[in-house]
Amino acid sequence: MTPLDPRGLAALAALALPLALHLWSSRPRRVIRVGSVRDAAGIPAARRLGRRLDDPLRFALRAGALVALALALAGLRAAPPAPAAHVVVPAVAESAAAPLLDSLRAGGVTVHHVAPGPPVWPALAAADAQAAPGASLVVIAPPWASLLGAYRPALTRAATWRDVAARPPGDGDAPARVTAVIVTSAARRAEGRVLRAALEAARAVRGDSLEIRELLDTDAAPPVGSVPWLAWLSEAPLPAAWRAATAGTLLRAGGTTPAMSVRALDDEGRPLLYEAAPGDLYLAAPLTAQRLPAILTARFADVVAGTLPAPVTTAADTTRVSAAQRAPARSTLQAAPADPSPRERTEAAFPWWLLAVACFAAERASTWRRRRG
Amino acid sequence: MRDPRLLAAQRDLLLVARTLVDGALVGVHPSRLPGSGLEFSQYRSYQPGEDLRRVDWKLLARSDRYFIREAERETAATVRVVLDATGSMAHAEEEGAKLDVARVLAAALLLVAHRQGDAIGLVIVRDGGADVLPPLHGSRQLHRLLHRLQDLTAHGAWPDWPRLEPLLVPGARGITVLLTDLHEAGREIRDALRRVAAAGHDVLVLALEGRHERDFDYEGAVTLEDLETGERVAVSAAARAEVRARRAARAAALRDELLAAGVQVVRLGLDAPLEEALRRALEPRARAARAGR
Repeated sequence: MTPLDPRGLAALAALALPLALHLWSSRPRRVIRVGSVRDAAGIPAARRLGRRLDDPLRFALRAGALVALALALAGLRAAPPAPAAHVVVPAVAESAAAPLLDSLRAGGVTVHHVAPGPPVWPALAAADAQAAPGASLVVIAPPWASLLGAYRPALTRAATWRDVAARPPGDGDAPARVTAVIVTSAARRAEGRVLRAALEAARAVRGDSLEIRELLDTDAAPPVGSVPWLAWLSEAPLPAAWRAATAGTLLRAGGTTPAMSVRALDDEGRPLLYEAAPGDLYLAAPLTAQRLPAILTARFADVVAGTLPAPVTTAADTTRVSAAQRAPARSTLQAAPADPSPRERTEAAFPWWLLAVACFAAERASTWRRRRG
Repeated sequence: MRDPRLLAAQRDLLLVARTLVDGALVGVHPSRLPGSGLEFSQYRSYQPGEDLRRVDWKLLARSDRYFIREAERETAATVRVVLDATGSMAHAEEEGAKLDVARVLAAALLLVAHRQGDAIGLVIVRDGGADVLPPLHGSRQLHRLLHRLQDLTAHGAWPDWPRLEPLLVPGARGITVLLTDLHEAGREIRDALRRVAAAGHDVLVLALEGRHERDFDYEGAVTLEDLETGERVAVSAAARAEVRARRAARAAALRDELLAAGVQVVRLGLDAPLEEALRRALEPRARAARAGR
C-alpha cells in the first residue's frame, strides 16, 4: 500500500476528535429508569472513568469514516502505477526521431533535449535526477561512439537506448576549429602535461576540431587572433596581453575567493574547478595525483571537455558502439516520489471515499436506531 | 412484545384473570373440606332437597339406592397476596411495566384461590406503608380485591418492619404470595419475608425481572436513574459485564438466603408469556401438594 500524497495521512490526526468526544463526552447520556441502581453504584467511579470509551461501535464507525477519509486524501493505493518514461534526445537525433517523439509527447512523456555537442551522459544524469522513481530512462540516439564520453555517470536506474539512423554532423558542413592554449611555467610543466592529456581525450571525442598548443614560456606573446580557450599554469600573474587575447574560457591555477562558486566536483564530492565569473575558471588544486586524485579518472577529462567552447560541427565518430558500452554505471540512490496525475489520485481515492460514506451511513443508522430505542 | 391482556387489564382485570386462569390451572393444594371436587372422599346417603346432580347414578343402578359421592374440595386455605407497589415496580420494558404484570398475576392467583374456596386477602405495599384487605371468602371479596388492584400505581419505598409487622404477621396462617422485584435499599424485604415465614406462613416470592434489567444490555454509556430514590449513576458500556456479574451474584445470594429461611423464590421474566408465568407461580404449590398426598 503506497500513498500518492503522504501529506493526506496528516488527516489521521482528526482521529483525536472522536476519541476525545467518546472519552470526555459531556453530552447528556441516555437516562434509563430502573428499579435499583445498587449493582451499578458499586463500581468505583475512577474505574468507570478509566474504561468509559462509551459506545465502542459508534466510535469504531466514526473512526473508520475518518481513517477512510484520510486515506482517500492520501490516495492510498494497492500498488503504484508505472511511472512515465523520461526520454533524452541529442540534437543529432531530433529530425530522425521526430515522428517517434511526437507520439511520445502526445502520451505525456517528458522529453529532455541535449545541448548540441557530445557527450550525452551529462544530460542523461540530469534526466535521471529529475525523473520519478521507477520511471524508465530512454535515450533516442544513433549508436555512435561520439555520443559517449570517457566517463559514465552513476545513475539510479537503467537507461534504454533506442537507435535511430541520423545524419552525422559535419557531413557536408564546414568544421569549425577550436584552439586550446596551455601556458605553463617551468615549475608546473608536469601539470601542463596532465591538462594536455585531458584535452587530447576531449579531442578524441570531438574529432579534429580541437587544436592544442602548449607554450612553456610564460613570457611568450599570445598568438595572433583571439584565443578561445587558455590555461595559465604559472605563479606569475596573467599578462594583460594574454588577458586581452583570451576570448573564451580562461583556466588558471590555484586560489579561491569567497565569491567563487564550484563549477565541477570529483566522484567523492570534492571541488575540481571553481568559477569566479562565466568563463573565468580556477583549478581547485595543483594538478598532481597527490593533491587532486581526480586527474587520474575519466571524469577529469570530461570536466575539461565541458569547459571547451561549443558547438562543434566537425564530423562525428560514427563508429557503432555496443549496448554494454552505452550502459550507465548504476547506483543505489533513491529519488523522491513523483507527483501523481489527477486521474491516478481519483482512482486511488475512490474506494476510500466509498468506505468513508459507508461508515458514515452506518454511524447515522446506528444513531437513529439508538434514538428510536 | 407487550401482551394485549396487560392493556385490557386496565379496564377489566377480572376478565383478563379468567382468560389467564382458564388456560393454566389445576388445584393449588388439597382441601380437607368435603364437597364436590376431583378427589374421592366418601359416599353418603342422599337427603331430600339435595341437588340431584350430585347423586352417583352408577351406584344407583347397581344398588338401587341413592348415594351422594363426596370428594375433597380443592382448597380451604387462606391465601394472601402481597403486592410490592413501591416505585421500583414502575420499571417498564417492551413487554410492559412490572406492576402491570404483577397486577394481572395477582388477580389470576386470587381468582384461582377463590375458585378453590380459599379465603383471599390482599396487601399492597407502597409509600412506606401497606394497605391491607383481610382474607375473606366469597365473590364479593374477590371483586373488592380486584377493584383495589384496578387503578394501582407504583410509588414510594418499602416500609420498615415495625410498620409492616402488625399488618403481615397476625391472622390465620396460610399462604403468602409476594409479587415483587426484590429491589431493596437495605435488607427490608428479606427481613420481612424471613419473619413472616418464621411466623408460620407459607411464603412464596414471585420475583419479576426485566430482560434488559437482567442482561444489562443497554447500548452505549447510559445513566441509570433509581425509580425509588431518584439517584443517578453513569455507567459506561465497558462496565456492563461487571454490572451483570454483580447482579447475578446478588440474586443468587438472595435466593439462597431466602431458601434457607423457608421462602421459595420463583423468578419470572417480563418477557415470558403470562400463562407460563402463572404456571411457574403455581408450580411450587402443586409440587408441595403432590408430595403431601
